[in-house]
Amino acid sequence: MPDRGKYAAAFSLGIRSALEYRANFLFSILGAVSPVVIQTALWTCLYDTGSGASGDALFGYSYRQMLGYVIVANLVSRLVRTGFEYDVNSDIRSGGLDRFLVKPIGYFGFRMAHFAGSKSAEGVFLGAVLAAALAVLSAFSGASFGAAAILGFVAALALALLLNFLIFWCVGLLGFWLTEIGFLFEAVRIVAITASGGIFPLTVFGPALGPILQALPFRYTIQFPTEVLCGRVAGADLARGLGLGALWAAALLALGQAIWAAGVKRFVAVGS
Amino acid sequence: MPIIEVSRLSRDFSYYEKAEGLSASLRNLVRRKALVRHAVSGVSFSIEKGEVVGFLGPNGAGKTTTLKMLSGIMHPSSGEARVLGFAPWQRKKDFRMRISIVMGQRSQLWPDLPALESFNLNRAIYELDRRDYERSLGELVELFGIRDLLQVQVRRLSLGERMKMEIAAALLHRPEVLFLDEPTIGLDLLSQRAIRETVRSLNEGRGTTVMLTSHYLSDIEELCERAILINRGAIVYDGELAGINASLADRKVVKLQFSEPVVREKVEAYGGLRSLEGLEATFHVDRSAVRDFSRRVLGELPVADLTIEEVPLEEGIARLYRGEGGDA
Amino acid sequence: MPTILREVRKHFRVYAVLLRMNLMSQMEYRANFVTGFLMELGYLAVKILYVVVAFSSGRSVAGLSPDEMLVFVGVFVTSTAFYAGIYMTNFFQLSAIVKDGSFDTLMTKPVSLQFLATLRRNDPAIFLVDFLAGSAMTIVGLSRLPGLLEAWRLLGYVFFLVCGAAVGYSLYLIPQALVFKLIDARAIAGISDSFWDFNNVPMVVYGKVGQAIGTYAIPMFLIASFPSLFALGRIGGAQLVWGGLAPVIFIAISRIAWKRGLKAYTSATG
Repeated sequence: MPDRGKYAAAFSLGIRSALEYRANFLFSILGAVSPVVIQTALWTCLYDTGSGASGDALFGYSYRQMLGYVIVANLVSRLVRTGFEYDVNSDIRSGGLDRFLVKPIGYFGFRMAHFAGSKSAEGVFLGAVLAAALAVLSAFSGASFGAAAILGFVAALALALLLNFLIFWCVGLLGFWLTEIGFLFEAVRIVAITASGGIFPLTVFGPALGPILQALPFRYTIQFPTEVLCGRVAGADLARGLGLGALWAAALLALGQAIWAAGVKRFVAVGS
Repeated sequence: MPIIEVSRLSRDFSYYEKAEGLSASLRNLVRRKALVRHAVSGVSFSIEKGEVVGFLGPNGAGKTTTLKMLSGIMHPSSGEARVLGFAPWQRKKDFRMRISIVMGQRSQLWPDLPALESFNLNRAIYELDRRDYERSLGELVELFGIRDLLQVQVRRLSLGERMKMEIAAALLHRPEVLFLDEPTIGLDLLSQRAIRETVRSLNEGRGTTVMLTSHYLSDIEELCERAILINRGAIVYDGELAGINASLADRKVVKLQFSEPVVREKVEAYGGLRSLEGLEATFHVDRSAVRDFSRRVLGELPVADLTIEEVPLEEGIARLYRGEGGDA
Repeated sequence: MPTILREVRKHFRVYAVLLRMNLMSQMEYRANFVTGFLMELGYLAVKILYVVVAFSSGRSVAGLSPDEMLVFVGVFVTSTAFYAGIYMTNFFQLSAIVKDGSFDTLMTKPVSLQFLATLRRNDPAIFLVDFLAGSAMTIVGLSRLPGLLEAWRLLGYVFFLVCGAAVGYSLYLIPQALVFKLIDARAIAGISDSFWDFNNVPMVVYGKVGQAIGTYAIPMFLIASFPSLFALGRIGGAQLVWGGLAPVIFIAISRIAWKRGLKAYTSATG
């Protein structure tokens, strides 16, 4: 039974490293500003039918709903973002993985606790930004964010973090086989963000591709929590979504364990 | 005129206290304490053309910082320095064309390409025409014995071979001054020896002025006639290596080999006992008292063998670090 | 005067050597070659997505026809070739080389430090993806529009493209002059990335105020909108003048910022 204290230590380490790189985090929040501005400008242009009114719905969203989506999705996208896959890769490269193969705390547990810690620190700050954004949205578009939506959002967010962690855990483990991997991480990230509805809601992909993307786990990392918070998904749909997301998490967990086992075997045999 | 002149050179660093523990990290968010470290304090010396000078000191003594100031990488906080008549931190192009720096454990060679490619890059950077380049390269290849390594990818070379190539790359343009910062750090004994050979032959072959920092005494011993000892930012000794002992030669080491065991108290009574193991005793005795000391022990103790030696250089230096010993 | 010319020629020669070394070096890492290609393809797909979404909405973007949008995207992608293929890696690596000491070694070379620090590495695979895809889209779009495929127009387009790349370079360099003090240059480069990203949509989308800011204050629209407006024959007189002037001004500003940052680095770090 792994020592509880070690997970707590990893968690605390995660918080501290998030605090130390706070400048970094601040800049990544600022980096969310530009997509919001770009997308808002684009939608404003598209929804404006010349008659002055906000026009009809596009891709299943009214103008106000689309603006809400843009702001929330971009902030959620920043919140669930990972970076630890680079650390996993460098641990594999440098042989730093060795100490985890021997210690009682597994590497997976360490990474997860560390991630949870750093996200807790970031989450406090981002939560404040999100709250402010929601206040602005309510004032501007009259949207309301009820307690049920917020609670559901928290649950969906936890699921999103778990899923994103698992996805990039699997990707990070590719370092066992590939030596230079930086570009691959970024390639996966940009595809994942797009497939998660982080740029546009998945309905823009049309009647053929859209539903396929909705079924994949990516949706639950950005689009699902966003829709929950904006009240588009509630009640039974919410429960079903959480359930499906949990199933994906279980599948990814199994996949991750399989990749880990294969990777460690290779690592021990071949070296880094 | 000295090729390097340094006068009361100083360099301070300000830094923030690093936090230990979670609560300290949180506190640091709000307010951080600024501290100052005097890395180099009022250092003065001069070096003539063709000298090979060793800058010796423990980690954090200020060696690398001094070297950085002399190569133009860092501005001093106060004081003056002239290298080849230039103020290094102005980084004039003429200055940069005539010096070179190699820092241990840092590579300017591209790891995935043969060293020859990086040499070629230096050729363009230092504006060497084909003939000069090939002549210089040829000399260095002979001097360092690296002909077979030229076409090998740098990352496939051993650490020692890589360092040789680094130094060769730094010498293609025939710099008048070469700065070597910890060139043998991290190398195995054989490679360390090879690098020392390399530097020695370089100075003999081309008369390059070399300023070398190290915390390995053997680097300095084998290469430099003159050593500058630095500790905590200040120069502790500047002169011939042999002189270090001369200034500390107030003591000698006397080793006794006994023919039968002697009670410890009896041995200690003579004073200056450093170690007593089995039948061997080592004493540090004042130079002036050695004769008397030897006479007494030979007469009063069962001594089978007696040797008198110089205090080893390491110990002399260690004592200088600690601030003991004679005039520097 | 002749000294400056000689220095410029020397830097071109050094750059030629660097181009060759980068290419050879990257051939060593075929996986990187491929994943770099894939990454750039990913970013390319997102750029195209913006335009596709604009179309499938059934609405028009400020009166631009589909072919004109195609030209616009093509120009933006081509422009990205200069950024991603020529200076991106250097900016993202800047704090790493400062931390590991290679920057110090570069400082002692008798070549412009700014040149070495910002142009040392380049990425031929990435450059090719964007340059080929972008040029293809631009040419196809232009050929479908009456009377736009003319030699002088293409020349002018290339001129504005290069001006845009120069402006982009300075938009990356100016924030990076702060890198000497901060922990991670990647975050700062991320901000400049967002300037670049504003070009995902034609500048008309941003309204009068937005266009003014993005043209005169932080001239990010010079990167893609200006060259495409020129190619489409829609550029105004004032824009023509500013398009040629701004790169000069901003390169000068970035040079000053660089020198300031360097001074701070050599005087104050610990």
